[in-house]
Amino acid sequence: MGGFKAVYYRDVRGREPVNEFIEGLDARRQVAIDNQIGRLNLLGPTMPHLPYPHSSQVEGDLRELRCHFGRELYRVLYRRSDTLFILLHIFRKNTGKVPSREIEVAKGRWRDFKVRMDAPKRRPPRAAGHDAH
Amino acid sequence: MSQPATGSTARAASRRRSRASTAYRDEQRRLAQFEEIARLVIMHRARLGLSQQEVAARVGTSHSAISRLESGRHKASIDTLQRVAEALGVQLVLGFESVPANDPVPELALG
Repeated sequence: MGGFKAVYYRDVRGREPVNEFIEGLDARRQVAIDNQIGRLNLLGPTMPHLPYPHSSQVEGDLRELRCHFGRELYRVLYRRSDTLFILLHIFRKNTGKVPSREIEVAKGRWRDFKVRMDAPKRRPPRAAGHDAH
Repeated sequence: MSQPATGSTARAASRRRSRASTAYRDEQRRLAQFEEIARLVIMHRARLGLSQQEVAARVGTSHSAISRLESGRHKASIDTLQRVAEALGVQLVLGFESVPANDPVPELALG
């Protein structure tokens, strides 16, 4: 199906903040959020967005995935990079618009993601084998 | 060695949680059929570029009925599904299928 795939952003220390947040919830909330995130995997070039109210634009290419569990609202901020949806940030939302500090968290992580993805691949150090002598 | 900026896939993480927790597995199993239908409705609605309200109007039901259907958490009657399918220009297909023994949590056909 689709062709796009949802993956967690991973920071330099190897932590996945969105995944860790979900890990901290109880099973029923985890399934509710995982199911909503799983819907991103239905998407592809011919259908690049989940329709409203499941997702909506936050700012530029930054989008939010809207999840709820009863009256609790959760938001996952994400951006697409080629065929991947990078899950940047998740938070529990109380009222109104997405707070700008949450947007800043997502933007900061996106910048970090881009820098690390665009960094030229360093060659692995040569093994100190025969050549070393 | 620095870490790659992409972590696990969401699907792999969900599978891990499913393996690790009975409560997760039970909830996943309980919701699987609703989630499957929700995904079908969302995809067909998106294909037609319709809002939930527009689908509701076509079906002759309330916005909240379509919203519940797309939440993947609630039962829907065959009658409702039939009318929604019609509004989306498709046909509802029903069937019985045998289930393999020791079936783990069914993988969602979509996604």
